[in-house]
Amino acid sequence: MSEHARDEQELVRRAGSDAAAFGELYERHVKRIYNYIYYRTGNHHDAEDLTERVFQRALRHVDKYEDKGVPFSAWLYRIAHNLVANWHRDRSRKPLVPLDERLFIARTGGQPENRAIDREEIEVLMACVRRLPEDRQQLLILKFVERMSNAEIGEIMGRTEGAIKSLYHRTLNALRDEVGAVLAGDAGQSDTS
Amino acid sequence: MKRTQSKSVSRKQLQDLLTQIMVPVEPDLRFVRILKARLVTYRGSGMGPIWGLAFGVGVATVVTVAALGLTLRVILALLGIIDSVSRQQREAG
Repeated sequence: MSEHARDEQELVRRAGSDAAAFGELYERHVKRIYNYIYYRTGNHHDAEDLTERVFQRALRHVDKYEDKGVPFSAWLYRIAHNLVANWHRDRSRKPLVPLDERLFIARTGGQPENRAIDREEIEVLMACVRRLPEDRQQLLILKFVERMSNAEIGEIMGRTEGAIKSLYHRTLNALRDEVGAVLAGDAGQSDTS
Repeated sequence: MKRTQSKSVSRKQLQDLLTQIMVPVEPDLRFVRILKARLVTYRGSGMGPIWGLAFGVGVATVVTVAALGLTLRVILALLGIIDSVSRQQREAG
């Protein structure tokens, strides 16, 4: 077990009764959990609301947390996953594409002529991503936003490294087909016009 | 993924696009600080503020009753003094 893992285990053990220990865990994980929820909901307001609920729930139950050899973050991601699933069920709607203007500017370098094209690309791709099953969306978020390895993703999602590799392969193929179908549809429309 | 070039996307293009698009976002620092204060300072207990309010109301009630009792005693004492003085004046008159 690494030094970091031991340190985290000790913090988790103390977090039930020690506010500072829980505060340290919060500092370590809040951005990751926020990012996960943001990409699942598509807007900052709900991401903030659900992130708050994740940590409130974690605080209430951290004293009952059992170390099963997986990172503490896996437990937090599971809470976040359940709350996001409830959020979608309650609203019976799909997540929104993040349309924050600042994000587009940051991603395109702020060139106005590129932004129109890139915005379309982002919208097409994110629309295809949000049509994927939940586990595949989670995989893409952990892979691209959190830059995790297959082994780390496996620990979070409770699967083997091989299973994650296989799921990633199938996810990319499905996404490629979906994007191709959307683009082919759009090209067909522009040909007829 | 340019539509003028091709209708399909290669795996490599797709991975490159996902790498560019799915970037970490920064939560509002004010939100992060306030949430930490709620969780750590107040221990995030949903019942905390309710118990705090009940305690506050209880203390306020006790203080009010005690203050009213004291005021009543002071008024009664003053009335007693006034009565005593007026009785002495009547007896002297």
